[in-house]
Amino acid sequence: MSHIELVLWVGLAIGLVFGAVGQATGFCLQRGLVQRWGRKGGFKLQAFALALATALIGTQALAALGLIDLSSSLYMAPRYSWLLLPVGGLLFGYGMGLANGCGARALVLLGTGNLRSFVVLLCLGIAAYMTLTGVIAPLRIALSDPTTIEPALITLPVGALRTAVTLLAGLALILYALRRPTETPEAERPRRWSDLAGGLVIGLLVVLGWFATGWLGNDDFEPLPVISLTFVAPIGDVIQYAMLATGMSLRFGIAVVVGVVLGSLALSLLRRQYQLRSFQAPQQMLRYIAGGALMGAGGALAMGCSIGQGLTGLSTLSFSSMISAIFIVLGARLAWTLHLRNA
Amino acid sequence: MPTYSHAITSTRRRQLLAAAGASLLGCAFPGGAIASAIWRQLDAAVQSVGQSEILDSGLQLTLPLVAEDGSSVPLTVSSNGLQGRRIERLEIFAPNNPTPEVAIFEFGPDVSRVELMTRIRLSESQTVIAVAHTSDGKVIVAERAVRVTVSGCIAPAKSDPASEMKARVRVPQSWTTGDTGEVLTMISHPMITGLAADASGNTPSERIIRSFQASLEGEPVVKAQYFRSLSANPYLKFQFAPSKAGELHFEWTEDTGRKVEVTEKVSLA
Repeated sequence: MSHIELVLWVGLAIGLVFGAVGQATGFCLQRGLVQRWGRKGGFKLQAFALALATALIGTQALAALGLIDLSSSLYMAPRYSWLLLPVGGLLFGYGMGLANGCGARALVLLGTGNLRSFVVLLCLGIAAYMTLTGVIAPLRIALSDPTTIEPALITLPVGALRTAVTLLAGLALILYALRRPTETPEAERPRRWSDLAGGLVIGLLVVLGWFATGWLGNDDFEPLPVISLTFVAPIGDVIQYAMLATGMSLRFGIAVVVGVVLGSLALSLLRRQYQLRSFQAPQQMLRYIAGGALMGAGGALAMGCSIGQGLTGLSTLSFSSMISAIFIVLGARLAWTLHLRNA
Repeated sequence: MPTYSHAITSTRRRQLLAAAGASLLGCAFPGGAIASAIWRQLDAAVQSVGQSEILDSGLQLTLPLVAEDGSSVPLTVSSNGLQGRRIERLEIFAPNNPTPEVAIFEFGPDVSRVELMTRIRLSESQTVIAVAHTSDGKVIVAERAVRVTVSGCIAPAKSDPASEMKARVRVPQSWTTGDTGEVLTMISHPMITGLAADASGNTPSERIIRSFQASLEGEPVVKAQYFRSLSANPYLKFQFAPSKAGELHFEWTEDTGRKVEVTEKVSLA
């Protein structure tokens, strides 16, 4: 088996586990934020924090051991647009609020028979490609060129400070994740440990993704792009691959996306939770279409989604990922304030 | 005068109809003889073909339909069903690049069947052309259309002068007499085109790997001439069946005359 096939199989396996965990625990940043802002209680945000802590510490450990070289990853690009990262983050976060979950969550829900997610995913994938290489791309480039900066520092320099920040941030996130529930209603409490376990596994999957592309895929002659879990461009890739498979090769991200749907489908069938669901009203459909399209375009501008920047990007300690991730949360807050608070 | 202008319109209309018909046929038979023949519009390819007899098939050129990164597009050429003919020379063209020539390969007798892969630069969407010359003086032309889109991300251009001219090769541990084995070669080199400005706004002059050669006990297996349309870090994967054991010698030459050499052992089992 060539290193390329091996990485694809690992990608599929990562996707399967992600899909199953997502189906079992409902791992979702959007739900976590809504639980927190609405003071409804629940453990989704704490699960996300644990996933981030795991991804951060694990990824930094892999890099410190010299197993992977993060410097060639997308998040370590020496130049980026100071305008598009925040704008993209806001659009993505707002779209995530409208569509009631990010792209990865939509993949999991699609596996359980949720046809609303199918619409969201189509809109997301097509909007992402429209922004990356399609009709909106000239606008993206026109906005990006005059706003591109080349900062002196794109991440913390290797050394004691970096190690300290990794450990302190990781510790803080773990403490937050394990904090005793106070607001959570009694009925929700049994979910605590399963939600946290799900977060832990998803954090490990981010690390495994880095390991797969950065170590298994690191061939002298044909090195693969060093990436890990991210869902905006890959959802577009899957749509493109479906149409152009004879002239296109499979990529890690495509294998992951397909795996997520299959993993969720398998577990929802096993648990007898598979059920076709659709829109209740045209207005709802319109909202999901807008949400998907905004997530696709925004994710393309912000170079990642709530997982791609929020977990994978942050796990590299890249400053640009911190910008994108903060604005994704701000965008989600905007959608919550405008549309969800009183719903 | 009215008749004259009418004549023009009607010729024009006929030309338009003919063009529309041709493109319809092109859709109906993608890759067919009618749709292709882009090479006839490229002087270098027409010159290469010359008066030689053109064979219909036997050469497969493979590139992705859509390339997001025009600076590194994988290209594979393979020959098959040539009925005893051998390909001696292979030329790759990218007609819409500033320099249409991409690479010229010459193969020794140990390369009974061409199976090679490299990476090329495409400045825009176009049809890539491969012209192969067989041992009996015939020519095979293969074409493949590639759509190049803008890059989705700002790829960091990594150029480390310290690792420049670092060559590496991978050959099979042992070879079986008469069987082909795969050889991978790569040299770290920015392949400066002399056309693009760097980060500081200066345009450095052209500096590329000009030639590559692999020879077994002094006899050439593959000789290649490279142009600036070849991607940075020139990569070449090829197959051959060694006719004898001995030293497999690799040599890269920069246009400044700088050379790098690597030698590997070939032992036949």
